Amino acid sequence: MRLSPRLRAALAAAVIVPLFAVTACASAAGPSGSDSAAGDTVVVDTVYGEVTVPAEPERVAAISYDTPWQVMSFDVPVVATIDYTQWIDSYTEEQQAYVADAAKVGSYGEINFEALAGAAPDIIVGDAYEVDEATFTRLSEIAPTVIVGGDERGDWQSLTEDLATALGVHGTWAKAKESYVARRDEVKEQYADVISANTWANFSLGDEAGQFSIQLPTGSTGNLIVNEMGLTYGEGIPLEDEGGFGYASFSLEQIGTILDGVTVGLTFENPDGTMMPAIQDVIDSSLFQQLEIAKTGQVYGLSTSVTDYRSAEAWIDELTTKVLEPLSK
Amino acid sequence: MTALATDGRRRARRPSDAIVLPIVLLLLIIAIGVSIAVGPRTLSFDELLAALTAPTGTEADLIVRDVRLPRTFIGIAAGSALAVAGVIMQTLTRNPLAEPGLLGVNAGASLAVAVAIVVLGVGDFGSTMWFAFAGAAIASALVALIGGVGRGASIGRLALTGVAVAAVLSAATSALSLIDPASYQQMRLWGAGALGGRSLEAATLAIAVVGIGLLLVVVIAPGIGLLALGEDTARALGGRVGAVRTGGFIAIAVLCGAATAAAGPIAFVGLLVPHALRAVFGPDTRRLLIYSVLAGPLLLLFADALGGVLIAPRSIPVGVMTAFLGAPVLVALVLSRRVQAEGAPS
Repeated sequence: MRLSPRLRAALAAAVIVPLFAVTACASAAGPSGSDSAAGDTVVVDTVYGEVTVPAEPERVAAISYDTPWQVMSFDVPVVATIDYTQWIDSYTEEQQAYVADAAKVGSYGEINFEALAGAAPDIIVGDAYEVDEATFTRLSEIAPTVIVGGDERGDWQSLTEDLATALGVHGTWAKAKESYVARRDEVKEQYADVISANTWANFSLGDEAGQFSIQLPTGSTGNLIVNEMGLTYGEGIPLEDEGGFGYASFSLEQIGTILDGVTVGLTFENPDGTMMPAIQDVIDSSLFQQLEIAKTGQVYGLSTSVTDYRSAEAWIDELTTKVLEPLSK
Repeated sequence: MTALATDGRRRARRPSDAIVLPIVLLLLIIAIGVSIAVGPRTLSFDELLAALTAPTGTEADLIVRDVRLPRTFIGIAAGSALAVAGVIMQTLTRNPLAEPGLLGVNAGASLAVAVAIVVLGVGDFGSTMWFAFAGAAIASALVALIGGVGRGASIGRLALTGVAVAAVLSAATSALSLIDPASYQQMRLWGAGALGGRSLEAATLAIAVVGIGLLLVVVIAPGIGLLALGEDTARALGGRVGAVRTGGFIAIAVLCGAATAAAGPIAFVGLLVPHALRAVFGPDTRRLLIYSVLAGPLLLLFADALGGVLIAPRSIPVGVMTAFLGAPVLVALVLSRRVQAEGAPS
């Protein structure tokens, strides 16, 4: 049986990442960014094997969908990203400014190798869920390429740590993590009653019209909600991620069963506070309206997109302001 | 089933309507029953009956009336519309490959709906339907003008023109849907070709509009039957060729526009159903039209049910399912000697 590139990458990640989590730390412990001279190199383990990269890269190309925002959380500039023009309004002003001057080197899932070479990166970074081995090989002809995998698609903790190691900014990553952990624990303690008194769900639009989706703990936001914040999902929510997408799509006729007992519904909204029409359609459906969360009005849209420790901390801040604080009164 | 005719040639013996019609009707009733009764959420017979006859606003009532009934109605409307449009197109163009999806009609309707959603911010079915009519009509005219007239007119040229126009229109739809992320999400959900996500009111409207289109077909059906014999023969027998062509053109635009606005672009129904029926009933246009009204929904509801179980708990959009089923038929048709030699449905 021939495995798909995505499956191969996922399997490779599952096997290799636990190994390189150890070895990468060892690499980082060697020539650290602040101590190494310009022109030095370090060897890092990646999903596709060991790669020699500059110890202090100066021209970073981030070519997966979430990778630029993860690099942004290290305060490292990027010289090239995929084109976000069509989605740009859904990003914050800070994010828009961050990619404004970067070369646009293709679109989601379709890298323009010529444009990427023209950006003259000294390192290319991305994740294994969008970059298969064949693409990695082509990218490696342009510049040293580090493809990270994490344990699953939404494992932003491991993904960012591996990226930080490859970019020689592990210290910055560690500080962001430290700040995040402190804020997370503070909020969990302060609002422990609200958190434990409620049953939660994070829903969004589905794959087809007439469907809705649930963000699973294997996805970025679901990971933060369930694993990090300890918000308990409703018992009717299936947590298996059979597709490996980090979410699962269901028919609207299942919404009563799946969200049964859920007392707080979280969903996504745009930075300007508007809701995507497809999500609004789910909320407006008669089956959603007969749910407890609709009757109590406890449905909240959050606009922060979770990709790293810094954005996770911002998400917690938004959750606190919009949800936990009002519910605590 | 063949019989020896008086001229010595073997002729196919066609099954009687008295036998086939009840069977097809029974199959359609079963398909409708399955579509309403079976879904991801299991409902008891009592719940189903109560939802259909005396709804009181329970969850089961909402599932049946707001999810399953609209889905079934859209399947019936789109299936009938696309299958009948396929028969008319194949007869009018005398081209066995003519089909709303292949000849760019659905793509024209799709682009028009995209314009309505992205440029004008119109998203409800009642409004987008008018755009779909216009898009279907313009695309039909464009394909007919480029590929169906002049000395070089041929089956291949018309089909290739349709494919080319469909590709251009689909590309324009994609480009348009990428302009605005919010619209993109709406287009993404609609563009795969799916029966779900419509309200009961929209589904009822789709049924009504398709019904009007079918009434028009009833009016022009005798003329279409004559046209199937060839234009000269039709004229010699008193047929009003121009009026029938115009009526057929309007019927195609109404049927394909309504189907596309309701369910998104669904291809191959207009190819699969007429050819399957032709294999059973032969070239009798009257029977093809009647049975298309029944067999189109049967195919679409079957494909939808199959798409719901093949990779459960995920589902495959019905537009993808019909493509899976229709592509092999298209290849077989293209390779068949009959199409190459005769070039028209007999």
